[in-house]
Amino acid sequence: MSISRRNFLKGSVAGIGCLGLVPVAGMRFAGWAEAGKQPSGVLNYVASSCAICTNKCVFRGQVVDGVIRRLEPEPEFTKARGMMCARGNAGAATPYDPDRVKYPLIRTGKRGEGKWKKATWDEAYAYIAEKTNKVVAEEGGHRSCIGFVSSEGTYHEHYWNQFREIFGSPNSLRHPTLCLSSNIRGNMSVFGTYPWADVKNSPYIILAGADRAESFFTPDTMDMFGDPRKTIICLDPRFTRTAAKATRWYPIKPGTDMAFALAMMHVIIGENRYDKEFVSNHCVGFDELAQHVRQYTPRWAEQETEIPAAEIEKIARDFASTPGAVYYPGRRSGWQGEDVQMRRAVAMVNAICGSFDRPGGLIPNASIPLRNYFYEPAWYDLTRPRLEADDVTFLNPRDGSWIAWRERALRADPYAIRGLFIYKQNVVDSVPDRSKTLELFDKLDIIVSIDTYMSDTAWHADVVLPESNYLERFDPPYSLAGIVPYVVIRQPLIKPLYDTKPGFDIIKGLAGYFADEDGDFLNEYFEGDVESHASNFMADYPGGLEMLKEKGFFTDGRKAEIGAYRSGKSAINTPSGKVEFYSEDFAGRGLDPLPTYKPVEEIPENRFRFLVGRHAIHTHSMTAAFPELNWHMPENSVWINTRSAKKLGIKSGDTVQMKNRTGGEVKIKARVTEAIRPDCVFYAHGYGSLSKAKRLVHGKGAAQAAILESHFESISGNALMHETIVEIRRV
Amino acid sequence: MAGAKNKHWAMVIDSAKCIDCKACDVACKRENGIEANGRREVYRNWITSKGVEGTYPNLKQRFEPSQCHHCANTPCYKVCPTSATYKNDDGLIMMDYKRCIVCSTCIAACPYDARYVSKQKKAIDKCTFCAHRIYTGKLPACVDTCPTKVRVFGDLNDPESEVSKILASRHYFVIKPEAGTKPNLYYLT
Ligand code: SF4
Ligand code: SF4
Ligand code: SF4
Repeated sequence: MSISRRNFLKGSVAGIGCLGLVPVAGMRFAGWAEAGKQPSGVLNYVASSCAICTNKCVFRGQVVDGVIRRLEPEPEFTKARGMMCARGNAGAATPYDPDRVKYPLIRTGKRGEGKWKKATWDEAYAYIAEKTNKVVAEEGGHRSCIGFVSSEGTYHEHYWNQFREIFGSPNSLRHPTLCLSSNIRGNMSVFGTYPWADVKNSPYIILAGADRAESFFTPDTMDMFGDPRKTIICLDPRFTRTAAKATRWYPIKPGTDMAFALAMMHVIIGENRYDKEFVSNHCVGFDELAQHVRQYTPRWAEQETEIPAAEIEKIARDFASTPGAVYYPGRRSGWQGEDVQMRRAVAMVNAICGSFDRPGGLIPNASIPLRNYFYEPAWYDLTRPRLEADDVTFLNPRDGSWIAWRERALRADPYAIRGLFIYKQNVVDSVPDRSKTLELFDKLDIIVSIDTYMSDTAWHADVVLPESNYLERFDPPYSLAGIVPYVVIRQPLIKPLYDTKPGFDIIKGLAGYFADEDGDFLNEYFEGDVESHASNFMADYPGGLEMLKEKGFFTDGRKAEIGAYRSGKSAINTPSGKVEFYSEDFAGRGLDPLPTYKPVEEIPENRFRFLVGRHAIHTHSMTAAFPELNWHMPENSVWINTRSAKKLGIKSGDTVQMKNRTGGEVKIKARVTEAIRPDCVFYAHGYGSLSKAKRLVHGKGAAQAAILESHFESISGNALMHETIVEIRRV
Repeated sequence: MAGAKNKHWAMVIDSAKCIDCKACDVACKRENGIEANGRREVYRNWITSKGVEGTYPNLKQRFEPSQCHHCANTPCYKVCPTSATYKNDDGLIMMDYKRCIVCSTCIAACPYDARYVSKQKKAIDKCTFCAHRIYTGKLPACVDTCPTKVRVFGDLNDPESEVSKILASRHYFVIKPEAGTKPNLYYLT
């Protein structure tokens, strides 16, 4: 194994006479010179937590002469096992990104044209309020016509929710239905909770749809791959980094995971290998399940999944006989057809083997409760139900169902949406079928984006309100659930470099331009400041806030108590109070009470199923333009299997055109590889950006949202990300 | 910063744990203020892989992290005409950037391809084992940042150090032993 950079030598040596720094990344050391100070070189540390993905890893931020140098992992923060991933490291450059939004902007050109005027905060708020109040008046005063979008990760999101409530709109939209809503719902119906796997103590893990080597989840990623003794069975249509590290990899046919799980249960129950003690003491509906899975033989499942029957049998037997074995609840498998039912089947494999509330198994999370954030409610007579209220069986009113909601909004059914207030979520890139999102934007009178940088969503907004970067902000304590829970915080490493504000200030500021029905301004509903809220959150833990400020995290030593549900100390939160196989609740709602397999749509000849997936250096659409990450992947390319590519005459590096069935079309370079099923294609998220202020990825490669068709399932409202079928040709 | 004579720094690498996540590369660049500015040859540590091997569906892929081996028998040091490459008392191979004339002889001499031309420094650059950190009791950046703790760093002169213990109990190899460099990067089998 060797690589050589010596072939770079010639050019480098020849070029050495004309040295010059390209300014982009050089920015971060510019602070010293500008300040006109002599650098002291003294290294200071500030404890805080990462904002580049959902894990919120705690770090010790190195600050030298007022400039951030590096974010070092906090070794005592055991949730991350003392690590900082590539993305977290690269986050250190974000405050110095020359393309970040530096002051409030009001659009002057057409939407998406990139023409702006610099505004003061008051001008920006007044502009928003004028447009918004006008459309609300036009709608007869009902405020439901403004949609509120937000995303987790900023610890200010509760203020946003407060603003939406006191403003008087029920239309709240968040990220979960583009991710894990179906997984949560499936597990809730079986266990009454969404448990996490005790990876650390599990010797045998079935990983389906969780590319944990590239989709980091703390501490699972660390525990899974830091211990090469574990048996990892990886089911994935793509040969991921996880597949590379797994004991065995099976390129399962997408959408057939339920067949695999049902056949496992067929074997485990048929051969009497299930955990009789657990099933009889803690579960209901087992007889119906046993009867139900008799039809699902491994031989049948082989036809569906393309995994040999003998392998399914072996995995089933090994799983049942290995104490602590767990079928990991991955999110990305499925996202097709009966997605919630598939999740239930996986949960049931764990349940029949007693892999719940025992070491190595699925464990209901613990959390460190913080004092509630209280505020006065506002009441409006005219508020209507949210748009898609009738489209989804279990609709979470905070999360909504993105695709169902957007369909309704496009049809103004049952009422028109006139504006979107968007806090952080990059909806243009994250909701499948970008053209529909932009079509909706075209119908709106006002689009506000609060963001730290010019995402594709901010790029299409009317007003961009720049939030201070996470390294410039104080964020209130945030409780992280887990088998070992923590509370984390954010503290500024540096002062804001530009005219930006933290989320709370922006939200309160904007609220001050709106009034309730009594004419009271909405900012009056916001009491105190972030510091005082932080103290109040932690009021039950003397010394807690001090620990947060010193270390970036707080723990009172608590952990999920394994065995508490078995002993009866904790109650299982299902209607029956037991782990449920046959669900009366589902039956009562007209849903299959047991997971019943429905075959997946066959992919026509020369068509491909488009897969989504992660890459260890990227978080969704956020990071592709971070210079230190982009260095590793300047452009994305579409993975296409060698044999399929040959048939189509496609070679690596060729530009190909991909079309879906609903008018979506992209051009992208091909990457011909053995590492994907011949009937699937894949490319990474975050490229092909429309925003010209994401210079490194604007027009480079293709965006996932441009090719994904929009489909959703109606039990949880989750997007079906793997229901996109594309054709490809060389151009 | 000459290092203590009684130290013998070494790194033990368990490639089986590496998930090719690139945290070590980014952490190193941050810690050492290295600006690649898009230039592909700029890195102090790296992950070697032959890519995906085999034919679908029988595939494998391996990852092998590497960096300067801080060779005890040191080809780069021997060829340097200006003593820009020098040795600390503890055996670390260091660069005096001011003395470097970028003749690049050391690049050719290094069997591990550990060196590159730094436009930023106007000199040749390479991994220092984060000497500035280890002399203040901290770990090199590539070690502390790694999610799966592929690299273990320590003093081979201390029999109680983790590196000594691992090497006493596990099988290991070094890369290119035939080059006679006596490297201080040890790979577990
Ligand atoms: S996993 Fe990486 S990006 Fe996510 S919070 Fe941790 S360091 Fe940040
Ligand atoms: S940080 Fe660790 S796991 Fe990631 S690429 Fe480097 S050595 Fe491998
Ligand atoms: S690895 Fe290369 S650069 Fe490092 S000491 Fe050895 S010869 Fe010199």
